[in-house]
Amino acid sequence: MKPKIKPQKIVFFCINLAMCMVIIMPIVYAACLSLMPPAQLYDYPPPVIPETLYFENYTTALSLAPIFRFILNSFTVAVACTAGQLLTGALAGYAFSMLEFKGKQVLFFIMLSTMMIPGQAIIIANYLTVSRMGLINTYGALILPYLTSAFCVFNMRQAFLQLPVELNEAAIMDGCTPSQFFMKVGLPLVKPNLGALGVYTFLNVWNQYLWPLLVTDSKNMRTVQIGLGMLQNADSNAVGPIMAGVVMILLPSIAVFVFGQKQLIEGLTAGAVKG
Amino acid sequence: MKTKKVKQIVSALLCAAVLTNVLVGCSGGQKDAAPASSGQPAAQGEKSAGAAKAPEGARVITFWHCMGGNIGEAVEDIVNDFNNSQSEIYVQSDFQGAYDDALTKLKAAMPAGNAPDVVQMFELGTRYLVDSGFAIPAEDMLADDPAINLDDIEPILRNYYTVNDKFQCIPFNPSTPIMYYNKTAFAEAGLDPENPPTTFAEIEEIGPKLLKKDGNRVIQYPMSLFIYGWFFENFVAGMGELYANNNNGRTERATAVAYDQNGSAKTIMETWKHLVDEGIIVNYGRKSDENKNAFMSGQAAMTFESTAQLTAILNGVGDRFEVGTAYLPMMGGKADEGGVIIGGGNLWLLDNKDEQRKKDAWEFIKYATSPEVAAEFSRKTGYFCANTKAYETEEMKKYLEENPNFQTAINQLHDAPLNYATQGASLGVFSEIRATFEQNMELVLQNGQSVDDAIAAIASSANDAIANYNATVK
Repeated sequence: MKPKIKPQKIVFFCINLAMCMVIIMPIVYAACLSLMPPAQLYDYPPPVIPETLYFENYTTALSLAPIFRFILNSFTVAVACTAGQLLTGALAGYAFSMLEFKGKQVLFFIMLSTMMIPGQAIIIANYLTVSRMGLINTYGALILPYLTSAFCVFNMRQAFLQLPVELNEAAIMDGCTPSQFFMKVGLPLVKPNLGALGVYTFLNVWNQYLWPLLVTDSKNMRTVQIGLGMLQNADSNAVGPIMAGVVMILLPSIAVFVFGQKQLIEGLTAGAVKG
Repeated sequence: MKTKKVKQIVSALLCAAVLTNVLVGCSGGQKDAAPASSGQPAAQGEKSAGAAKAPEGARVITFWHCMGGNIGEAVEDIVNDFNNSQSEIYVQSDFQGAYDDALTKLKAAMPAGNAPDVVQMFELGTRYLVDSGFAIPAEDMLADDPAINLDDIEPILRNYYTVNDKFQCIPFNPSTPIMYYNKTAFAEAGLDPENPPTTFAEIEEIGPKLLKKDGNRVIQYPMSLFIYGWFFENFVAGMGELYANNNNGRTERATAVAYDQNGSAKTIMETWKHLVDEGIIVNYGRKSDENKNAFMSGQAAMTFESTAQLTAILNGVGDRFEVGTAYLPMMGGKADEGGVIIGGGNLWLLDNKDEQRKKDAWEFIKYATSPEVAAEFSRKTGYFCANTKAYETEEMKKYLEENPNFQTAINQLHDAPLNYATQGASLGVFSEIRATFEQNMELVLQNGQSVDDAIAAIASSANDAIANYNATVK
């Protein structure tokens, strides 16, 4: 017997589809624009579907800026920063939630207070520090300042706080050391948080503009958002190649999201204190 | 009980943090993703060598430019040609984002000792670079090496970039705003395509003829315009009025803006608003690209843009209609004393305390602005040539004959009288002042703020910024 499909489900599905169309439209439109010949771009009313597939926008974009090199740079930097933030965030978050030590609250508030300093206020000071360390134009300058973040630590602390106290007590009763608990019990349980934070951090770093512009000079060290800038000009813009660049640099970040989402769901479905 | 209190404090702190971020995000307004938080550098990063592929034995100098897209390619061509023309000096050129981004970077890099030898900077960075003490005035270099005759430089450019009685930098890609109009639409409306309007009064007069409607839907506006501080500066100069006091800051450092006192701001903003209210100008906010697209797609019959857009606009329009260019229309006033003021970029020689590098960098500047090179760059981009000798080259003469639209900007420049008004204001915080104007003009056009309130707000904010800046350079 066929399972009956409930009418609510169909309505729900349709609403989902409509929302999805609204959200995905700008990306699809960008992709369409990137495939339009220049003459079609300025037609009125604005066309949505390209007349012919015009790949020259992509070759122009690639000749104006080494996009693949930029993607590689951004990917390296974003992966390193994400790994660094998750590692430091998980360790510090664990300490701030599960362990008892002197000055814990004070330390935690000092750390939280750094979230209140706007990034732009310290960007020049950071630049001077990195410059004195001789790191200008290296991956070091792009990665080092972003290896840890207060937001990440705070978020991980909250995640650990949500674990039932009994879990920790039971583990201690069984002779589990804090590091064993962290590795074997705590970390697997906060996997969904790690997944969400990872995607968030990755996209944040991927979208950085001002910092990479400040600390890198040569073309070889540039990241994707500056690459997009290279396709633009204050006095004259060619929409086609810019859209081609946008589509190319979008793909890796979408891939990360798709991959991260899978992890996220897996993490969510893994049970905690099972019966 | 203790934990409850802690939770309250935490949530209060978090709210504050989120708020700060939101506020900063709004005031920043740029596309930069701010660093999420400060962090402590912990480990050694991997080193990666720069991209220099200089030939053995060549002395490397660095050049920062702000040109992306096809114009960026034209700049790279100049650098490559220079590098190939000799083997002693190798110019390492790097794109540094838009002018404003590059200026920010320069402000950080100069004190840290990471400044390039040559930098391309737009007109608004002039006062800052002069005051910074890092720039070597071009006139000092010309004293030892009279390679460029200052009399060959377009007088209006020479005027603008003479600060503290010295010619400061070599103009590289100068531009002025001009009017672009749709000749085909003019003909269809029964107007003379060879006689475009020269004043805002004429625009208002012919406007209704250029309005095309399909039922209630407008299919062609008479004109489109976006809010741009540069246009405002040009309208002020076009009226023969001063933008800042002390003769636009040319006789003595400017201490306040003048357009609120001499009435030019009121005339300009009221005229602008009137034409928008009448439906003659369709307002595109601050979106230059959308404004340009409206013109190129034929939705607006006239618009103002930089001369540097000429190539892009001609390509974008294709054979959809015939494009005409004309002088920037003015708003009455002392029109015979008014004219356009200059915009665009220049090459600055920066002092890296190294005589050899200074000499090498100067060689590159001389090459990049030489008549032949400048003429070719002008043909590729639409910027005009700073060195009048460039127009004497055969290729350029032929080119201008074939493309009369390119001649418009040159004529407009030559027709502008030389005085303090067209010399333009010399201010250290021009970017900020321009931004304040644009914000307030937007409020006037879209949110019904009164012109008088807007002028008061612009002037007081501009005067504060000028006072703050002046205090730092004393």
